[in-house]
Amino acid sequence: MVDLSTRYMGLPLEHPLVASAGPLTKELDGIKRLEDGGAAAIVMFSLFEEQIRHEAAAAEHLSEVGSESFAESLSYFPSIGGFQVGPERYLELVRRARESVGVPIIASLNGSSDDGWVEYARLLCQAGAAAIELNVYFVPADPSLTGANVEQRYLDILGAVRSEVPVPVAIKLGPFFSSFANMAKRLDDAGADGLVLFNRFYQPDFDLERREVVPALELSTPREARLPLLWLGVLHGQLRASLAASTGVESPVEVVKYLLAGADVVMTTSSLLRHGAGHLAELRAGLETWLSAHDYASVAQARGSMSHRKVSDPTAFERGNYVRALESYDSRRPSR
Amino acid sequence: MARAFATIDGNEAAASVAYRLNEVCAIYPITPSSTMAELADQWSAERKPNVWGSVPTVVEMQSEGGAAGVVHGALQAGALTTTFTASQGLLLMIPNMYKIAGELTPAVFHVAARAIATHALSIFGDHSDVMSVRSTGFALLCSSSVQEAHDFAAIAQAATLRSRVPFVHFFDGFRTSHEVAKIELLSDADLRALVDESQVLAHRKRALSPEHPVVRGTAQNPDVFFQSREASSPFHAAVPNLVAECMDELANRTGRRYAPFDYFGDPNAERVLILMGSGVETARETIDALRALGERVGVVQVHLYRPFDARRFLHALPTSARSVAVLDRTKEPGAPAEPLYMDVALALSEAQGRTAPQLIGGRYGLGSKELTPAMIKAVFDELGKVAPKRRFTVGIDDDVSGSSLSVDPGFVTESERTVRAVFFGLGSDGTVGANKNSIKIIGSEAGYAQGYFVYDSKKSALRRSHTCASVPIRSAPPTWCSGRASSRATNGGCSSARTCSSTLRRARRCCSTRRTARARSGTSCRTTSNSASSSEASRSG
Amino acid sequence: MIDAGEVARRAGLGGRTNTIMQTCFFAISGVLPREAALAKIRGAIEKSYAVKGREVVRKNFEAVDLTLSSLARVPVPEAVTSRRYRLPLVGDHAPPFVREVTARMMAGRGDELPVSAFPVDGTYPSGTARWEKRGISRVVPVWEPDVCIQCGNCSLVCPHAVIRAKFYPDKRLEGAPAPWKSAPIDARGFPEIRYSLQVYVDDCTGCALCVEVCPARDKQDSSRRAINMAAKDPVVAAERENIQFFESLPWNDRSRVDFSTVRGAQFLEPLFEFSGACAGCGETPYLKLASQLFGDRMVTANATGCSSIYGGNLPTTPWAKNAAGRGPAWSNSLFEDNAEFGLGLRLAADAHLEQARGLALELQDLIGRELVAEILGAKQRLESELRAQRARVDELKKRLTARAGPRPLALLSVADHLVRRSVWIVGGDGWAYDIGAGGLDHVLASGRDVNVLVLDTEVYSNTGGQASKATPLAAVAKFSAGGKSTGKKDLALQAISYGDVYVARVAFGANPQQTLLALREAEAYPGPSLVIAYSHCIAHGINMQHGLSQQSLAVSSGYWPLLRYNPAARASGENPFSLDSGAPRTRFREYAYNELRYRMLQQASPTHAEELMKRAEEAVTRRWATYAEMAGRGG
Repeated sequence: MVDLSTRYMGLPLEHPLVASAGPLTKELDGIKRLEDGGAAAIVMFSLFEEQIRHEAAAAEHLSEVGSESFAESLSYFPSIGGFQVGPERYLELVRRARESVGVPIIASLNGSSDDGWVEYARLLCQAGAAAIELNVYFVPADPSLTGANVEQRYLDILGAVRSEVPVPVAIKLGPFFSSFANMAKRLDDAGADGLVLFNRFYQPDFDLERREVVPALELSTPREARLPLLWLGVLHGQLRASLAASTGVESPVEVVKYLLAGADVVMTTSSLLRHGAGHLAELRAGLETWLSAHDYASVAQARGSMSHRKVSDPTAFERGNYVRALESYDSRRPSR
Repeated sequence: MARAFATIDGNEAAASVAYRLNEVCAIYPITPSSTMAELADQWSAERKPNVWGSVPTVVEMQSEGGAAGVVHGALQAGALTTTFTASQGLLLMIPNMYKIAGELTPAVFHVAARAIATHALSIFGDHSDVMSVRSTGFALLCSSSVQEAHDFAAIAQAATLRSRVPFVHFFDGFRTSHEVAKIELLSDADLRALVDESQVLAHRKRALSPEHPVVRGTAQNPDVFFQSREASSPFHAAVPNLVAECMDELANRTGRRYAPFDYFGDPNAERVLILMGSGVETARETIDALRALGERVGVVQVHLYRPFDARRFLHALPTSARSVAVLDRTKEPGAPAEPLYMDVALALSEAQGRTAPQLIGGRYGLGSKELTPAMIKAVFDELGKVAPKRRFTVGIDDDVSGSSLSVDPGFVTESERTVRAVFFGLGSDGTVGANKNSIKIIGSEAGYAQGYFVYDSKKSALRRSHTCASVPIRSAPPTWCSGRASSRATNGGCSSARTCSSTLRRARRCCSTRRTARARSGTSCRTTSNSASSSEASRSG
Repeated sequence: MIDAGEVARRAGLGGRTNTIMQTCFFAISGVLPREAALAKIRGAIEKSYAVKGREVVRKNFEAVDLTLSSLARVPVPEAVTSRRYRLPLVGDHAPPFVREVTARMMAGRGDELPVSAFPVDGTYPSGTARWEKRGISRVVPVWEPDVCIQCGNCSLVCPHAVIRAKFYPDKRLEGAPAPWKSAPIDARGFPEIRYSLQVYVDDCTGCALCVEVCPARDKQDSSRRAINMAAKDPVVAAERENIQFFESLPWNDRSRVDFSTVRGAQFLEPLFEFSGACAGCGETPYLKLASQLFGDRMVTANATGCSSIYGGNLPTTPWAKNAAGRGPAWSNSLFEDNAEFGLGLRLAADAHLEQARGLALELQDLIGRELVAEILGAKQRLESELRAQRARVDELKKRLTARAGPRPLALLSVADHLVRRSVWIVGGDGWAYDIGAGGLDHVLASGRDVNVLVLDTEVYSNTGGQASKATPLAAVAKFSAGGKSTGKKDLALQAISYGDVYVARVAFGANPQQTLLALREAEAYPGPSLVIAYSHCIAHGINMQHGLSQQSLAVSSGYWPLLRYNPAARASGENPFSLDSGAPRTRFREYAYNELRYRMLQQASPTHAEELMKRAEEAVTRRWATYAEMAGRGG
């Protein structure tokens, strides 16, 4: 019997497979299914501050437009009990999830204003979130904004939230920092309880016929696992914060790889969207099979066993490996 | 020119004129008016032209509401349009009637007046349907006999085109609609003389047309709705004169003289009845009998009920009248009184320079309850009392509210020269047909004849046919214009059959003592069949 | 004094100035002590807007503060000092009734009008909306001739007939005002012909549907289209001048315009204009298009509802007439009887046509046999044929006028019917699906040549969004606050079941060309026709600017399949049923959840919403299968 248990930001988990923020968590039913499917913890879909603001404004506007202007139709919509805009609905979902499922519920927050981050984080905590994941989604499109400005923004947000809420706080971030390891270290120093590698940036597409920018979102694939794999391997053992691997988990192979690189937990949404919540159990079984086939007694034993510091050739993570990769690419070029 | 006669029922009498004076008929069946629509449909299928040479379009709709919609549309598009209905059907037309009247659109709806279903459905006659459309802005013109149903159909059409106010032309369901009588027909020439083609063209000119588009049926705000609602008042005010004018023109051509309010009886009557519809005929007959006994009684017959012309009404009512009873064939629970009573009361209360008579009012004849001379006499008797009942019913025994007047069943007003017969038939045994035949034979060969048929509500059951002929047999056309005596000879004689033999009890008693033949057809009058469950003439689904 | 609109904008309240004006009132009226009043207002805001979210409350609080800092005192002089006088509401060139009655109502002085000012029978003149320049929008579309491809889409979708196009010989440019814009017409072989698009800026409601639908992009800057919203103030003077010149150009000859394309239809004069409908209304473009295509032969029966209110509410009404004085004659009977009312219009027209034909034959020696034969034999399907028939009927009337006598007079009174009349029965889903369903069914079964246009907003829009049988499964509406749990009635299939009814389902935002085709086929079909038109509506809870994209999504998701059922096709052995939109390629929920009417339930009771949504999606799939099967049948 392999011991699969792990800890994430101090939360004891039965095993390292966590459902990441995604559409399945938008309803209580989905959250329950994730638990039934075998998630060790569940990260809720992100509460977007501006979406809430926008929704509140839109609902306000749409339900009021045309009202009180014509004697026959003083309004156009019924008042429905339970119809709420703003964070209340999200908070209610957190509350109900907390009551209905046994595994920890991690709320995810994507703020836009300084006040918003703190205010909503506090509300999420009160609603019963076991931890909070800050999903700092930020496209620095302003050319006058320096890299240092951007980094400081992450640190400020984390610092502000960290000092206001009693539960663990993770930060989910992208890889686009000049010195990612340094950035990770500074977040660790600023009190991050966990780092989630990585969030997937919105990369819009163009509709050439209409000449319009259109949203485009695709599910992640195992190929995308390599970037987090690199950085997990680099960071393992160098930080106090827990590490969560996200992106590109499709099969037990990626799960094992992430753990060996040093992840405390492995998160997935895409594979669950493709295969259903029950896929978690398959991932778990696959992990267990691999560990036991390779004579590991526990996840703890395997974790980080291939990290930067542990592999026989640490250059594999660094520049040397890149050179090798370029060389091997040539030789593997398919013949025609 | 020799005038043509025909022995037909009230429905046909009205439909024959309506069809000939219209271009579109929107129809839907409802008892007792269905025959009018059926005839129109039949004539249209036979390509019978109207008086202007075109064949009217007849279209059956999915409800009276739909028929009224078609009527409204066809009128707005400039076609002369009519419909035939009753009771619930008329109620379904009310929304459109307000529109049609509000837009000053000439049209005539022919109504065989019938009870409205309340605690129970009744397919039989009274005025509760037409009373429900008093406020629509339609003029209400009432016929009391088959002949009038024929004549007033024409007067209504002529008057509506002259006044632009639409008319409901109504007569009592079954009592008049199904009564077969010999009447003098209006020729196409009569109709064309009454209905001036220039008014038909004027109606067409007002039609909605893309050639000169306008907007109708607007929605208006509080700033102008009220004023523009008042703009049509002069048109309604002009109606009584125009109706009288049409009546005079008809009289000049045919000799049959009518007025918006007719009076019959002692010129110095002290006691006067006011009512409308077929009951007037009974009243006239009774008055004859009472006057023969020296009583000073009379009746005001209401023909044009709306617009209610108080001036003409007061003119018709003898100033000698000391007490007046208004008989309403409808019931408005909760109202201070029935509608005709209230109109009369208001006219009297506003009358200048005359002493208001004592006024009482009562209900009669709901759901085709018969009105007999004895009942009329009971009302006159009541009028003679020092303290008469101010509100009463007559024809029933109301031992709950105590409203009813007591009636002396021994009072009869039979003409010695009348032959009456009651035939009992079983469902579909041909009794009714044979009687109609007999009436036509008498009508065409012998004199004036009239028949009335009493039906069970069971689809196949006992029925009675009343056949009556006036004697002596006339060989020349009646002198309608010479006054009421001769008209009474016809109408009065026949109505005695209607009234006297209206109940089996009386018919049985009378037939042996008078020259009344009584015949039986079928096995026994007691044989009733319970096989069918729904009423014979109830509204089809 | 305060610029409440500006304060509302700064506070993020959009057009809602209620809190601001309330604050002003209490701040200056002295009804309550100022501070106490402000505290009460804040309390009221908290109470009123709590359900709408913290954000709304915050913005309103902000608005209170901004109001107090923006409120300025204006000294009122003892005597009037201004030398400016109000211009009359309508110009001297308006018809007398408009000047004397309509204008007084417009000025809010209708109460002063006496009884004698009014028509006795409720008949009002056509085309009065053009006299009421409401100027309600601060942004208006501005045309860019260099980018424009002259497709006509903007003109077609404009709910208020504010965007119009004409082509004309370039020599007309000589009299054009300085700001006049034009482009060579985009058609080969007409180098001397110019094209101009005119925006009636004072009639625009600023809905921006025109911008949404514009397919043309500046090659250098894809954000610039051929028509773009811009502030009205800088352009208004120039555009007024342009409008005047535009109106001096004649409307293009109807028989030279290609009716079959959206591009061609823009050159037809709209005879439904400047209605009082909501900005971005999804119903009015259909009516406007019908008025362009058939307006000069059209009689309209209009069911009570939105279309009868924006179509017929005084003081001013949008149904108009052309320079020859012809246009749609319009009437509203009731809510429940509209189909029957329209049938009545048809029956009368048919009866009078029959009389006219009979009288023409009877009087042919008087009129001239050749003319009578031509009139009676005319086909009147194409515009050129209709034009020729009009000329013949005019000639007939001329010849008749010279003759006295009852028969010629009788023929004169019905001669107009010899030009084929187009009877339209228009109403919303409340009428067609519910209260008037029996009558509509009966009229469709009548075999008569009527054209029914159902403006389907899927709720009783006029009375404030109550559910009808057109309300779709899973949508929230009043009287269906828990989400509609039964499906929308398939009115098209019901009508198709008769076999001899022309039926089309259209959505101009998804496929304007198909809409145009369907309206024309419906009108040409010599029996009853039914066109069911998707009409986006404020009762859907959408930004009306996105009405067209919602229509597209409704179609692409398979929720609103575009179809035509033309019994006339049977004559040539073809399948009368054609499916004009492709198989579903987006999900129904992607369409639905853009709309508050669906989203409300999703937020209020997600599980129930999901249940209904699944059923709705199944229903879409099922219905598509039925249609696909029908479309696959042989003739």
